[in-house]
Parts: sequence; C-alpha cells; structure tokens
Amino acid sequence: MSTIIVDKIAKSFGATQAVKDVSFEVRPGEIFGLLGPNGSGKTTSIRVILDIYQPDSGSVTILGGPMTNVKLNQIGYIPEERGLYQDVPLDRCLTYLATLKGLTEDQVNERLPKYLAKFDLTDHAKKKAKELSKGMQQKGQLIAALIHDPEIIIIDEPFSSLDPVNTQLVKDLLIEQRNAGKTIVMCTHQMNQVEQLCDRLVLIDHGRVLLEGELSEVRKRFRTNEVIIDALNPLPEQLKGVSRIEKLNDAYRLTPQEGITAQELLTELVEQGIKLNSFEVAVPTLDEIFIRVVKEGNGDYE
Amino acid sequence: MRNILKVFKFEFLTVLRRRSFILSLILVPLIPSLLLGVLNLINQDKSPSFQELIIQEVANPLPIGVVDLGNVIKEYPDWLTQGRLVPEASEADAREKTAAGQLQGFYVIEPDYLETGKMRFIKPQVGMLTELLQKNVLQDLINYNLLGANQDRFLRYMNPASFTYEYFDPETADTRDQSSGATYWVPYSVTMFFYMFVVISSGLMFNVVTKDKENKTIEILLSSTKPLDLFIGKMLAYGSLSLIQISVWLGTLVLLFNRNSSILSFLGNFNIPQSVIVASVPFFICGFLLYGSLMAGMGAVAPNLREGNQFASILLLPLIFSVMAMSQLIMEPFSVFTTFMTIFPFTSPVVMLTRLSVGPVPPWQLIASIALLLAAVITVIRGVANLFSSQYLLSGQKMKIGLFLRTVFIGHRRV
Repeated sequence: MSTIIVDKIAKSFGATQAVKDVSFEVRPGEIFGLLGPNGSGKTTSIRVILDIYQPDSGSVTILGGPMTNVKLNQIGYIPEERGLYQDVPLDRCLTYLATLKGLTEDQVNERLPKYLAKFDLTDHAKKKAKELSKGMQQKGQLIAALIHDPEIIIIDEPFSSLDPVNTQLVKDLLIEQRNAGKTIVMCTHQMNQVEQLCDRLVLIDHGRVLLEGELSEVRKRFRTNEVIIDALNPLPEQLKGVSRIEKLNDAYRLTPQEGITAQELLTELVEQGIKLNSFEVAVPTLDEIFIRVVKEGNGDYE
Repeated sequence: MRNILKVFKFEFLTVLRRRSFILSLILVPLIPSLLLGVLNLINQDKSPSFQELIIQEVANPLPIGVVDLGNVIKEYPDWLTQGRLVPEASEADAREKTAAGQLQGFYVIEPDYLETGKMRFIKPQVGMLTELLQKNVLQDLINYNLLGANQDRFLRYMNPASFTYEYFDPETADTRDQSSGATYWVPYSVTMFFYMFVVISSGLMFNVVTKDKENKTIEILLSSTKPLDLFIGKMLAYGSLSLIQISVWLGTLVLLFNRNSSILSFLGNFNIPQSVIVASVPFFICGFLLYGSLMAGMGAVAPNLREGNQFASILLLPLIFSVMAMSQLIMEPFSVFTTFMTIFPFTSPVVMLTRLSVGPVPPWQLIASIALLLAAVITVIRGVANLFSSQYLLSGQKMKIGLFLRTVFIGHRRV
C-alpha cells in the first residue's frame, strides 16, 4: 500500500492555476524526489498533501485514507521558508511545536535533550532563535520535524543555504530515517542530491507531471546508446556505424547509428586499431534529463 | 480544541514572560502610586498645607486698618472681620501704627468711593496671601454695610439661592453636578482609558499575526493545526492578557483614588462610577473581540507589517472618531448623535463607558448596544475566520482594503 497517493489534484489561486493535474504515489520506506523548476507547483502540491490547501479537484490519500488530525501528527514537515519564533528561546519554541504535533510536555522533556545533543545544540537551547546562526536555526527546524517520530517526513529544499558540513548532516539524517523505515518526500531542484538519495521521483512543471518512476528506470528510459571513450590515438573523421563524433575535453562522445549496439561499436574501434583508456555507455545525468524533459514539456504547451 | 489550548498557553506565557509586558503591568500603576506616595509624604511633614497657611494667615494677630473717608462703614462686626480689620481715625494715625508694627497696613476708602469705587492699600511689604484674604474680608465688610448692616440680608446676598432639582424625566435628565470638576474629568479619563486599551490590545493581535508571517513560522504551524485554532487560541491569549492588564491598571486607579481622595481633591470628587467598572468587562471583551478580530484579519491578509499598518489605522477610524467627538458626547449625553454613537457597535465599546461615567444610560440603549455589539462581534469573527485561512496566511499578494472589508462583512471570496 502506498503511503501517499496524490490523484489528479488541481489548485488555482484566482486566475493562476498552480497545479493542473498532478498524480503520483509515494511508497513506504523510500526517499521520493518531488522535482521541478521554480514555480512548477511543487510547494502547492506539498501544501495540498499536508491539508494546508484544499484542492479544487482530485484527492490525496495518506496512510490509507484522507488526512486526519492524528495523521497530521504523523508527518514531519520542513517548509522551504524556514522559520522559528525569533524572540523565544529555542527549547521553548521546539517544545511548543512538538506539543502541537501531539507530544505531551513530559515526552518532549524526555526527547528534546537527546535531539539537542545529536544536533550539537545543547549549549544553545536557552538562546533565542535570533541569537542563533542560520545553520543552527536549520538544525532546530530539523528537530521540530523529527522529534515526534513521524511516519512521513516532507522536506522542501532540504539543502538550501546549508554549508557542506550541514548538507552531509542532513543527507546522513535522511538516509538514517529511511533505514528506520520512514517515508521521505524530498522537494528540490538540486539534481545531484536527488541522484544520491532518491529511490523514485516525479518531475512536475507548469502544474503537470512530466515524468515519474524509479531513478534507475528513468535513467534507462533516457539512455541514448551513446558511448564515451578515452582514446590514446586520434580518431578518424568517420567510423563505421557511428553517426556523430563529438570531441569532449579529454574524451569523445560517439553517437551510434540506428540499430548499432555499444558492443558492435567497441568491435569496430578495436578493428580500427584505436587504443582505448576507457569505454563507457553514456548515461544521462538527472540534470540533463531534467532540462530535456522540462524543455520538451514546455514545447508541448506552446 | 486541544490545539486551541496549546496555542493559547504558548502565546499567553510567551507574552507574560516578556520583560516589556511585566514592566508595563507594574510600572504604569506604580508611577502614579509613587507620585501619590510622595504627595503623602509631603503632606505628613511639618511644612504647612495651603489650608494651614490660610488659617495661620487668618490667625495673624496683626490687623489691617481702615480709614473710611467715604463714610461707608458703620459697623465692624466680629463674626465677619474676626478682628482682622480695625477702624482708624485718620491716614496719619494708620501710617504711624503701621510704622510701629501695630498694623500690617491700612486701607483708605476715598471720599468719592460710592461714585468711583476708589480705594488705596498702604502696606510696608508684599504679602499676596494677606492681600487676597483681607481684600475679600474688606469687600464683605463693605457689602454688609451697603446692605444696611443687616446680617440676614447680607447672608442671603452671599448665598442668594439654594436649588433642589426635580427632573421631568429622570432617565434622560442630565443630573450631573455641573460645578464639580469630576463631572468632566471622569468621562474624559474613562474614554481615553478604554480607547487606549482597545487600540493597544487589538494592535497586539495585528502584530502577532504579521510576525508569524514575517518570521516564517506560520507554515509550520499550519502543518500542525487548523488556522481557526490558531486564530481562536491567539485571540483568547491576547484577550486574557489585556484583561489582566486592564484589571491591574483599573484596580490600581480605583484604589489610588479611594485612598487618596483628599490629595486628589483638586480633581473634584473623582470616583469612577460602579456602573463603569461593571460594564467595562463585557464592553472591553466585546471591543477587543471586534477590533482584535479585525486586526488579526488584517494581519492575515497583509503581506508585511509596514503595508498592514497603513490599513490598520483605517479600521480604527470609528474609535478615533469617538475620541474626537468626546467633548460633544460628554456635554450632550442625551443627544441623537450621542445615542447613535452609544449603540453603534464600532463605537459603543468606548462610548458606552463614556456615557456610563456621565450618568445613567436608558436600559433600552444598554440592551441595544450590547445586542448590536454581539452581533457585530459574531459577524466579524466569522468573516475574519474566512480570512484566517492558509490561502491568505501564506499569500504574499498585495492587499486590498475593499476585498478585506467585503470578505469580513459580506462573505468569503477567494483571492
């Protein structure tokens, strides 16, 4: 059973249609990437999932049914625009946010010191948020999203304005949570992070789904049969079975003709006496897939 | 419901722990208390009071001479002069006695006094209080003699009428003591007090909602609780805080005036009527709910504090108008205008208390006022509940006052 099922949701604000027709499923225990360029409808979709916005049409199923107060307490959310009460001590602010998620004050008193220690914030617990660095405030927000031990973690742009150390901290945390069986929805446009973390993804733009699937399957789908070789001697201008030779920095990208496999291309290179340092089938990066899909998608609209 | 209580508790305790709130709670009543304490201390020391000075002056053994060249004064009755004015045969005698320290000085009533009123006062040194007191005595003495040296006639002249009032309709009659300063001081003070309270407490609602938006906590809150729970929790918290504040301040004021009525006698009989104290609770609560809701709605719609502030003052216009019209409300408490302001729900939270501090208010006006106020409170809270939605709270769109007012008073329109 899917943890989250988003079924054909649409949401407008006045004349602006933020989400037109978005459907996807998030499975238990996976890190799911909700991808899309700025203004594509990612945040609106998340807010609909969280019941912050009511969809104009379509529906969302969470943990087997519609959203309830109990289910809301099983979700940890970190919005893109991070915020804490600036004039309130960190521990009091986190206690309040945790109690809103259904924890009793005793439970918070038991759990909070552990989280503060884990995020190296113990010495800063009594400081007001405005006295903390941006990184510390981000950690505080992570605690607010995790302290109630949620089943689902939804995190919008998890790595925005984080330094490399804190980026690694968040990545480790997400992997740790996935290993603990939590379902994570990660909303971002940082493709390298998606490639490292996500099991499955959906790409939306202009409020519509352009692409959905497992990361490996998506890559396979966009594989072009091109190969990249590092040759020790120069290539001839033409090669049998190759339609295009592109010189890269210290390698060549070969585009095979229709029906020619990578194996056949390798055989041809060997027969031509070309000495190779490396030979690899070119798999498109998620960045390339993202740009291509978004461009094609926009072309569809136009 | 549970989240309402959590929101209430957090907001309430956050403000209650704030140094600025504690200071304002304590300092505002403390400062007048200290001032009155100092006045009390001054009163307790050996320096003579104004009254004592007058008594000393009256008891001064040195009289003032009267040289009556106009032949006006026939009698110097002791009950009137108390020995303070003594007849002198001639100016030379009077001058001699003054020089010898037997007189403080002397008056000369000129021969043509009856035609011109001319009189001279000869004295060795300035004594303002002496002059003030003795001049009055001299005038009384002249009046007494001009009235034929008849004590009864003189006393009637001094107090020609003793009124008792009978009102055609006691319900609508202005029964105030027009000679007392308190007749005007009390309503002015009550009006300003409640005006300030409604404005300050509803302004808190505007600030807290705008702040939640500005410090980006609103989206986290909305992922945990319903907007209406937030709205109600905050209203309860800030309403309670304002009620605590008003109770402490008003209580201190009442206590101060009761304990120090003699020191504050220059204000007249400054007693805050019981009816104002009783009515202050429901009218303040309703006033806060009305304006606090409007301000919270404005905070929900405004993209930031600066932009919202421009529009917030528009919402306060009825209250500002009440203060501007205060003189007329106090001077003409039974006019049509005042009656309208008393029952109009956007002015009644302040004007009703002004009216009650002026005198009794007809029961029908009290009932109409509270009924209309409650109806307005319900309408506005329902309207603002529409505005207090995620759609508005998370929107950064430019606000339009027309859309705001339409949504609050007519119904929900989506942006």
